[in-house]
Amino acid sequence: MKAYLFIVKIRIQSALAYRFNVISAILVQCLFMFAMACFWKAAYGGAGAVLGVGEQDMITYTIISVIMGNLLTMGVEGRIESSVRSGSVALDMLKPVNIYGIYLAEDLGDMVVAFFQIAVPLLILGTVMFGLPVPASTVHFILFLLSFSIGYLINWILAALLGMCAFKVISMGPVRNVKGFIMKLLSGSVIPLWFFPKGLRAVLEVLPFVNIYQLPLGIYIGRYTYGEMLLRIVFQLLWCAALWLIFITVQKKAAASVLIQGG
Amino acid sequence: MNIIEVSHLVKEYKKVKKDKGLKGAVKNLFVQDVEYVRAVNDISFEIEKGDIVAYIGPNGAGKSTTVKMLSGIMQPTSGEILINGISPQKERKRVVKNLGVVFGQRSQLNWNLRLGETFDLLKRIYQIDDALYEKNIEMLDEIFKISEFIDTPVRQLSLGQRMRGDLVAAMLHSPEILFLDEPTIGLDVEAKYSVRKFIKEINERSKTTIILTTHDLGDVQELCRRLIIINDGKIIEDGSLDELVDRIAPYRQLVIDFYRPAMIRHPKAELVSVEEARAVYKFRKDEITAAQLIEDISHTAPIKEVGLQEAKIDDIIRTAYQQGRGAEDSTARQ
Repeated sequence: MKAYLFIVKIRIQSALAYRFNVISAILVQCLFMFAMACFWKAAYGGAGAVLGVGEQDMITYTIISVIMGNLLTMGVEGRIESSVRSGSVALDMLKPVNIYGIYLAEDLGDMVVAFFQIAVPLLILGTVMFGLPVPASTVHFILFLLSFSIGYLINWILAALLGMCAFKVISMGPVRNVKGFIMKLLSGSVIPLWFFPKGLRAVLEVLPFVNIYQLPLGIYIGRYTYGEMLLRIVFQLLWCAALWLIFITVQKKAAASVLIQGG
Repeated sequence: MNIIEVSHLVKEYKKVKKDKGLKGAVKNLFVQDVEYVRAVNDISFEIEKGDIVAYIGPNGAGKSTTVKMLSGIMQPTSGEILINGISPQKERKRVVKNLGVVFGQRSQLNWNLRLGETFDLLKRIYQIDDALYEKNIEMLDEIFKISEFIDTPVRQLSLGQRMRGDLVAAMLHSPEILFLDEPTIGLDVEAKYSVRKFIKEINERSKTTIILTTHDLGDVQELCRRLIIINDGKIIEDGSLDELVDRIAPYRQLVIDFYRPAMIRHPKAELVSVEEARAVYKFRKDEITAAQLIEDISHTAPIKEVGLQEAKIDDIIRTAYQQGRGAEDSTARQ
């Protein structure tokens, strides 16, 4: 455990070595956040509430969603692919630790960095432009944090599962980008599912993706009743457990087929 | 005691044959000719604790594949490996805890941070307790002199320093076995010399078993008591360097400068050439010693100067590689 925590720390330290990244990331994300918020302002066009969600709530949803997107950036897919391609996966596997533990620790380290370097500036900029995106209540905020954490794990496991394909196919091409777009769309991070047609919505509600963005965001803006929240979080936990089991099984198979590139 | 036991190890790769040209590339999208290649083909050997063994062979012979299977990061197709009685395939974590590995072409040091930071991480990964860690750092510093650059970011280190850093990183948890994969690649003469000296010292001090793969035969000559040569996935030689030399190149040459031109023959040596006052003899080590030969000849004519030529190690290894391929070659026998 100490080792994994140390990896988190090292990751934070290394990230501080490159500062230019941060400025460009903030600029791009801020632009995106601004565009999205303007889109919703235009779409609402002064209407007080659409489908039970007010305009200010929708803007809060958008700001928090963009911030979450930066915290939920998973390095694990790219990490596995690049270390398989370069052969440096050998070095990871020579350590008496779980390699996925290392990757998770690295991603958590990155998240801590992203929180301070990107999330906080974005929150400030968002507040300046559109007012403070306040949660529905303190309880809602705590449940949001819980749901966000479970969502983080779901997102990470999905990314790790995709990353493990690299053990088999070595190079994955644009699969990761495609997955990113599909995820953004199906998880309600850009457009909440309640704006989707009924049939499609019913399907998407069952998939794991909503549990990554829409559930925590919905909780944040107070969209659900307490009973509903509880039920949805239990459902989220079930998805997390199921994916975890798949992950454990696939991981064993993947280890057996590792080919190390290069002398 | 055997610390490493390998029996009938096989690794088969699937290789997809690619056809030529655009037509071939399109065809390959639909039909693939799959071919199975044995990178390691039925290898067995044992290594004793405390030994330094060179594991050498031409490029693509199967060296790295073997090392990767020994360290548990790749699964063999068949065969068994036991490290300290444990299978690295079944219990990777337990085996690698006792293993140090250095890849000459890959560094495990964190590029962005100071060297000491990587050591701190390894201390936690291997759960080395403070007392042992201090002791090891102190000992390794004595050998590798790392304290001069322990606070320098790794990206600013020279290749020689980086290699020393990597060796220390591999030794921190006092592993019983050290795999060195081309540890002197790209190093200058001086750095090479010190790395070899360090390796020797580590072996003597901590009785670490060392397996070395290299293309630098200087490494082999300087360090290894035993030599395993592998080619096309099979072991073709296994023994000490001296044995190999005796078998492949049992001849030595003696060059004698006389005071006057002389043509003296000896029953146990062949007179290869005579030029002015210089004569060259070829003889087998097991038939006569150089000293005896010199003495015998000096009875007939006074000798001014003598020189002894051994077969070159490069030639010997080259011959060994070629024998593995079944080709006849006599470069080392001339």
